[in-house]
Amino acid sequence: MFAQKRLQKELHNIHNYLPPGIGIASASDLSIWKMDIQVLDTNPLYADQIYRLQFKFSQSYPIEAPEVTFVKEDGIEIPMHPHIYSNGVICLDLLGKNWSPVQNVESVCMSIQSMLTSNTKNERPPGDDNFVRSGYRSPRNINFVYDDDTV
Amino acid sequence: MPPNILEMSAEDLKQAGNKCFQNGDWLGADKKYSQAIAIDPTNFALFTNRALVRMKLLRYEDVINDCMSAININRDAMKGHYMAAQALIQLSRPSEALGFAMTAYQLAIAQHSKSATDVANVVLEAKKQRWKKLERNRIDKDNSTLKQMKELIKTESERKIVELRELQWDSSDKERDFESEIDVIREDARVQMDELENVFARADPQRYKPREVPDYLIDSISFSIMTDPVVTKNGHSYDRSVIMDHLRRSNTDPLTREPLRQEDLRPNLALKQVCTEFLEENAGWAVDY
Repeated sequence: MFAQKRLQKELHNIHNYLPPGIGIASASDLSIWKMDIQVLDTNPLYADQIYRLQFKFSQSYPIEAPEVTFVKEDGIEIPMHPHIYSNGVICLDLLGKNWSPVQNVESVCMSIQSMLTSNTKNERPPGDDNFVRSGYRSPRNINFVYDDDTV
Repeated sequence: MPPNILEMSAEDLKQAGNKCFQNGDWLGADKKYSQAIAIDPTNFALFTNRALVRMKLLRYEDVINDCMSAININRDAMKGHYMAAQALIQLSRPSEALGFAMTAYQLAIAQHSKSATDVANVVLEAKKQRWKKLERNRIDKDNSTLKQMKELIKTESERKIVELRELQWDSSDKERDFESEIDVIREDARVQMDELENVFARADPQRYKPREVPDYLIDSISFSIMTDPVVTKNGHSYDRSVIMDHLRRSNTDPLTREPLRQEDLRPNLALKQVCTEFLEENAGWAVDY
């Protein structure tokens, strides 16, 4: 397969250029990367905050989507959003059934950045408590309902 | 007591060989497959299985022989062509390897094999190795001066070795290690020749142009140069083995998400020609680009 080669090239590309508000936190190997994102406008929900995304790649990347979640680390919180559970799991069709192998780390970061930018609701998804207690970590095991187009 | 091998069928022996193989017992597997072949020399799968074992044992000549036997029994034995190509690359025989690899690739596509991307990589590997060989010849030929200078280095080092040998013949000095002194002379000569080649390479502007593969030859899923581009309904091209990997998972166009089936793909012959020509000239570095 071509996962390794493709990831090496993506890494090379993003070392050269990344859009504003997106940065590499760590990419020491070709299986887990951490990316930092910031919301650039004055959205009061996310002003002056940096959030951290974790990308987990399988050997079948990019045929298979990466597992992308927000992670909580020292001084870094999980952003408040009606599609983001408080354990960091993101409900985004792009990362599930609508994944396409022409997507890449940069484009996923940009999609999530704009998902935050356009949000105005200071809330978690319905059933957040139950979901987090049920212990699901891997977004792949969840059948999200992508029916809410308002956010 | 194990069952008498004369009472075991070729199929039993093959299973026994497979079991050895799974346990990493290459020699055991080689023995079982050989016994199976002695009973049934018409089953090509026995030969390709043994070829795989011999690949593990680094017996490349034997791999090629087994692959040839498999191909003689069944011309469409994809694995036979595939492993022959791999073994020939190991033996630095890229032109022959390329022939087998290309046949393997066509068979892999026709048989919808999941190994198609791996086979395509072997095609590229063979092209790269062939390019490097040709490039070496070309450089040597272009630079007759370089060739003469390399001759001088060689003659000089040989003269030193002969001198040392004569000394060694006459000498009663048991302490002196003539063999390692000779090794040092050979190594020095090799380093000198490498340096000389580097200097000449830098002076050759033809080979100093930027090494970049144009974006339009790069597959947008694997990020590698295409070898067998196919075009989708929206006009975008992908490498055939790569888009087939994607279609096995999802029957959608990667860009538009519209339904896309394997039958909808058409070869992009003009682009293929461009890729082939580009690789002819640049395979040595473009394969790993």
